[in-house]
Formats: sequence, C-alpha cells, structure tokens
Amino acid sequence: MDEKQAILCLKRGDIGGLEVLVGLYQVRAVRTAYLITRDAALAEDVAQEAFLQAYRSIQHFDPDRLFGPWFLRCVVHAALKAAQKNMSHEDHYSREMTLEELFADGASVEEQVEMTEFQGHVWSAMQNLTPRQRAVVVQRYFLDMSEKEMAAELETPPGTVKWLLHAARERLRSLLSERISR
Amino acid sequence: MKDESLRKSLHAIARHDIPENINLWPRLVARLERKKPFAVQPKWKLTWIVLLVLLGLSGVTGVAYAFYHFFNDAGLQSVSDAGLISTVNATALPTRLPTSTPPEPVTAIGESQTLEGVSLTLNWVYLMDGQQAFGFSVSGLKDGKTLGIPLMGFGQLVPKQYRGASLAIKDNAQPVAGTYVVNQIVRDARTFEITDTRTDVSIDIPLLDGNGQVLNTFRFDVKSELVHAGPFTGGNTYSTLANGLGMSLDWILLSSKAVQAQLCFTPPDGKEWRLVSPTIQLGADPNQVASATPVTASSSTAVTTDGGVRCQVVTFPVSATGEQAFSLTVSELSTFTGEVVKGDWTFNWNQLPNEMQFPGIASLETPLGSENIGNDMTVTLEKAYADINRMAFVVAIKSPEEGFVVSSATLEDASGTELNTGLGITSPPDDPTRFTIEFFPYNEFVANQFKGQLAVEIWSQLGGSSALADAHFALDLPVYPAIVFDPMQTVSANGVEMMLQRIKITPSYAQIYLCFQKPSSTDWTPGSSTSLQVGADKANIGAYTLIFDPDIGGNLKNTEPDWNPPNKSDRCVKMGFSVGHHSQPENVTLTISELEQSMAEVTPPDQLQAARQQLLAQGIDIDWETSSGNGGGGGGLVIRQKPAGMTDDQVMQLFYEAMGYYYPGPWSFTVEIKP
Repeated sequence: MDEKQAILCLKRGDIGGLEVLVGLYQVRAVRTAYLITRDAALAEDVAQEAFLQAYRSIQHFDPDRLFGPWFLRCVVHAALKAAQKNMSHEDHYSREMTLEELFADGASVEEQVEMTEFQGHVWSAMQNLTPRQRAVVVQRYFLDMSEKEMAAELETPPGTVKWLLHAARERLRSLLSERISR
Repeated sequence: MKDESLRKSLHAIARHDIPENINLWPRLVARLERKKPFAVQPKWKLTWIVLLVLLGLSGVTGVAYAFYHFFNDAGLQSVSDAGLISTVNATALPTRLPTSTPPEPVTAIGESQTLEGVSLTLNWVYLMDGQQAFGFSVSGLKDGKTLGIPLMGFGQLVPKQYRGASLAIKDNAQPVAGTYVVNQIVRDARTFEITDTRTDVSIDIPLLDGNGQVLNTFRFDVKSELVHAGPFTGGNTYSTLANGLGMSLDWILLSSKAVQAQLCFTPPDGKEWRLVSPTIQLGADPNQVASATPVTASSSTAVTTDGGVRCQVVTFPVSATGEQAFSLTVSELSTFTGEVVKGDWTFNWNQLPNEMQFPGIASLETPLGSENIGNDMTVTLEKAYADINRMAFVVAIKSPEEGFVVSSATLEDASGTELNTGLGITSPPDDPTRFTIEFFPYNEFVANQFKGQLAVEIWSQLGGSSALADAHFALDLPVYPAIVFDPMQTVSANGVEMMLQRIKITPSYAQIYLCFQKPSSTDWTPGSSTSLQVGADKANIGAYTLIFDPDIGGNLKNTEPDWNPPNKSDRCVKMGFSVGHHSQPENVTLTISELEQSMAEVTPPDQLQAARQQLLAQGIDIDWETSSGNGGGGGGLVIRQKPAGMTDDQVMQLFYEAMGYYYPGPWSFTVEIKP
C-alpha cells in the first residue's frame, strides 16, 4: 500500500492506513521532535500526538497532496510547544560512539572521532538555543525548508525568520568556538 | 562552522540517538482504542444577529474594547461592518486544571551572625547547576557601612564557565533584604548523570566601611545542599566583542542609592587603558530600557590588573529600586596619552535578582495572588467569525483577581478532533482582560457550517509550567466561502515580468497567486512591504508559501493540487493578506515594491564592509557584533548612528539594499472583482 492509498484507507476509517503512514514517517518525526525537545521520550510522545492529530484531521486532508511535509509541519509545531512547556527540563547528554558507527563509512578513525566530537559540541550548543531558535535550525538544516516556508510555517514575517535564523547560527557559531577552543 | 557541517551533524545526532527500529505503532493502537470523551457541555448556541443589534450591543454593554483588534485588522473590520460577526456573550466557568509537580523549594536556612554591630541572616539558598543564589536580610548598616560582592564556594566542586553575578540590596525598607545570583556551572562530572549532586556550600559576604575597605566577612556554611538540574536561564550579556576587543561585565550591585559594576577587558597592548564615561539605562522591563535616560558613571576605582586582564569598578548615581532590566554601554577606551579604541560594548541584562522567582520564595516573602484561581472567575466568548481561511473569537476574562491571560487555545470539530491551525492571540494594551484569538487552518475549512468547540487555556500572567484552568465553548458557525478570480494580468518592471494569476478571497482574508521571473537563480521572493488593497482596505503580506519553482523541482510538495503553473519557467508563490472583499464590485490592487533575497548563510566580511561604506555615505554607521551570555547572546547588526527621524527598520531596509538583497520594482496590479 503506498502513501496515497494509505490516506484513502484512513479516510474510509481503515486504521491500517495509519499504520502504513506511521511506518513511513515515524523515524523522521521522532528525530525532528528530538532535535527540538532534546528529550527522546518526549519526542516519541510528540510524534505520537502528531500521528493522532493526523488521524483525527484526515478528513480535511487532500489525498493528492504529499502527506510528509504537512505532517512534519505538525510535528515541528507540537515539538516547539512541548519544548516551550518543558523549559525547566534539562537533559544531560553524553555522546559515545559505538564501534559499528565508528567504522560505518569510509572515513578514517581520526576523522570519525573528530566528527563525533564536533557533533557533541553541536548538540551541547543546541541546548543553549531557545526552543524557537532550535526549531528554525531544525527546519532549515534537518528538514531543509526555505526561509520563506519557515516564515509561513511559523506565521512570522520573513525578515523575522531571517534574523531568528541568523541569530541562532551566530549563537551556535559563538558557542562552538568557545567549546572547540577549550 | 559551515552550514553543511551543521546539517550533517544534526542528521548524525538524530541517527545516533533515535534508532531506525523505533516502533510507535503498538502505543498508538493502544491510545486509539481508548475512546476519547467529549466532555464539553454545550452552554449556548450562537444566534446570528444583524449589524444594528451588534452595534447597539457594543454601545450599551461596554464590549467596545473587543472591537479594538477587529478594527485594527482590515479583514475583520470589513466582516464586522458587514454584520458577519456574531456578538454572543456566552459565559463559561473555567475548570481548574491540575498543575505539574511544583519544583522543590529553596532551602530555608535562618542562620544569623553579628559583626561590627551589623546583623546578617542567611534566609535561603538555592543551587542549580547553571545558576546559584541565596537571600539574606541585614540590619545595623550605619556610618557608611555596606556589603560587598559575595563569594560562594562549593566544597570539592570547582565552578566553571563563570557568566557574571548580581547582588540586589533592597535598602529602602527595613529590614534590608538582599539577593545574590551567580551564573556558572556547578556540576559533579562523575555523578551528575546518574544521581543527584549534593555539595557543601560556603558563603562569604564582605562587610565594607565607608571607603569600601573590608571590615570583616560574614561566613556561612551549608552542608550537603542539592544541586537542581535547572535550565540555563538568562538574557544577560556577560561578554561582548567590538572592534576586536572583548569586554565582560563581571558583576553588578544594585541598591536604592547607586549601581556599581565591575567591567573587565584585555587591553590591546600594555598601555594603561581605561573606560571612558560608561552609561547605564535602567527600566522596569526590557522594553523601557531603550527609552530610559542614560546615566553616566560618577566615579570609578583604580584599574586592577590580573594576568593581563584589566578590571575597573564604576559607580552610577542612580536608584535601582523596582528596576528589572538595564543596558550598560561603554563607548570607548582611552589612554592618558589620548589614544582611543571605539566600542560600543553593550551589556543587556533582563534577569536581575530583584524580581527573579525562586521556588518557594513566595511562601517566605510575598504571596503570588494571581496564581490562586478563584471559583468566581468567568470567561465570556463575546464574538465569533469563520470563513474557510480564518476563524476569529473575542474572549473576556472576568475575575476579582488580576493577572490571568489566555495564552493558548484549540479548535476541535464535532468529533473531538483538534484542527491543525496556526494560532494568534492578541490583547488590547488598554484592556488586558480581553483577547482576540485567531485560527488559520493549514487546510481550508471545507464545510459550510462549523460545529465543534473552542477551548481556551488560562495561565498566570507570570507564566508557570502549566495552565491554571480551561474554558470550553460550543460553536455552531456559518463558514463563509472564498471567491476565486483568475485575472492572469502581467506587469513588467526593471526587466522582470510578473503575473497576477489568481485571487482567492473571503470576507476577511485574501490569497494571491503570483508568478514571476527570478532576477537570478537564488531565493527571490516578494518583499515584506508587499501590500494588497481591496476597496478602501489595505493590508501588508502576512503569510507566504512557495508553490512552484523550476530550479528546485517544479511543483513543490504538491501543495496546490488543483492549480497548475501558467508558465513552467517562472517561480510561483501564494501570499496571504488580512483583508477581504465587501460583497460588491470593487478594485483589488496588489503592489510589490521589490523582490527580496534570502540572506546568505555566511556574510562575507568584504561584502559587509562595502555595505557599511555605502551606508556611511547616507549618514548611517553600522557595525557587526557578536556576544555571549548566560542563555542569550548571539550577534548581528548594530546601528551606531542614523539620521534623525530614521527608524531601525528603515536602516535595516537600507542595509539589505546595500547587501544586494533587494531587487527594486515596483510591480502594481489592479483588478476589478465582482463577488
């Protein structure tokens, strides 16, 4: 069953359609939510809620449209809301690399370790962004949305997104410089 | 940092922490099997009334405030004028919601010491791994005696990443009370991921004589204090860089008599550099700071040097009582021989100890009345409107207590399904009890009638971790349709042809489908000044969607299934405007002053310098700064100087132009519509 058939099934009340959509999008949804909320359990809750919302809203969804962009937009919104409500939460992140990951591609061990350290720095720096800043970074660099799409999504003037993104990038840059130079 | 590295890192982090084999389905099925109750009791049914009744009610019931936002919005104003908005006055008693587990309170201490005739009581201590604080009261401060900046120790744990400290002394009342907050990391690296960190705490508070010399030191020791895993908080700039020279604001002392600050910098050479006339602007909130009168430092101590870093304590003769934010600026450094390094080094702090909320302080000090939601609160839905692109509601909260706000709202259809919408909530500045709530659906409302419910969440104005209560309203609203016109009108300007392809318009909202040739292959879009006038009403662009671009795959994400691009070599966009038709023949005028390009990922310094030179010729001096803070920070354009009467937005516009981010038009279309 492809995506379009799954949506049509779901519109008819066949829950099997939702199972197909979950199979197609759950990993990307949880990963998107995780990068914004920084909490794996919360990210799973957010993704579940987004699927439930999609299930409830499916009668309004045009089956000729692609489900993914619409759905991931819901995930970003829900994750942002969850992150803002969980500002008191601070995760304690540590990044350790498994041997499988280390040898997963052709790069040298040194390059891999260096990249992993950089990822650790990026993740730590991301923790110091506001949820809104994290959301724009994730939209831009994880979901590959354009600034204008983000503006439409966040219901924000394009100039605001431009500066929000710029501030987030500069903040990341500054934090990364601090961390890497240590 | 290259953007590609960031992109790769995010994907790698996501892959690392969220495995491919994740399976949400079993839990989803379990949740779907639990039937969702629809707990709302319809309390009223909307009755549609004519304009005269609406206006009459508005005059006699005092709901004129509710029109404030409606009358600031051309679309909602026109639907109000046309009698499409219902005055409903349906009241609900909000349901009090359970709040989350309260955070653990501060540790009450209550230990006193007396030195040199001065008695000091340590009232409480609170440790987070990113911020530590304590509160005290003191009596007997006479003959010029005062307190200096405290020092906190944490046993075996060495604090890291110091990000500034602040001491606030409320010395205009008895007993004198004080709060000290220091931003730094206190964390046991060996244990913090597996168990609570506890540490012994030592607190030294120097007692100073009238000349600022240490007379004695109060010393308190607290055993095995819990370090809470609190958030990184702030918005306080600790260090900033200008003209290649970094400066930090190490601490600030706030009292009713004066403000003292220690600023440290690494001089560009071995000379005796000093701060020149630093200024401070204080305000009851961050918005008031910019308009506050700058106060120049009246005195400063000798510069002390430590490892090449020079520090200077400056005193501002201004009261900090009741102030919650400040901006401190150092414009230049100079030597005794007249050499100068220009700044500005600006430090913006909006988290000062005076008003910071530590858990449990309320019970020790002033209770927060606004968090006690009373049973006699009522929430009234006064107005409602719906079309296929927008729903708008006016809600009023009535309570004997103040300080409640609507900060979230949801729409559900009759089956209890929450609609996927954008949300906007505004409140007129002169009536904080009324709120206009607007929903913009991601998918157009398809039915002619909307039956469902509006749920609003009531929060404390002070924030908090969860809503205090919610109120529900049953809805039965007509949904006004959109009218579609395809004018296919073309206009050329500055070598670029544009086509106004489609107008989709409801009584409150218009969507414009526009196609154009891009001046280059980059991300060109209609500028933020793009406007739409329908009859006498006008609105600026409020929403934007890219729907077709031949350079990035054509019909993007299939967002417009019933629409085809008129020319597959052009970019097509859909724009939203808060202005609607008036059910009569009238002109629609779309004006695009310029195309705007997305800012480059990395701004090349030479391009920035060229733009700066161009702006200097127009009397505008800009600079590019980066700063770091405890939770805030970042970087961006700093406006050093601008011609009188010019706004910051105008400077930004000129800056974008100088950077080549604009492609001037204008393109203007006028079409007569006949709804």
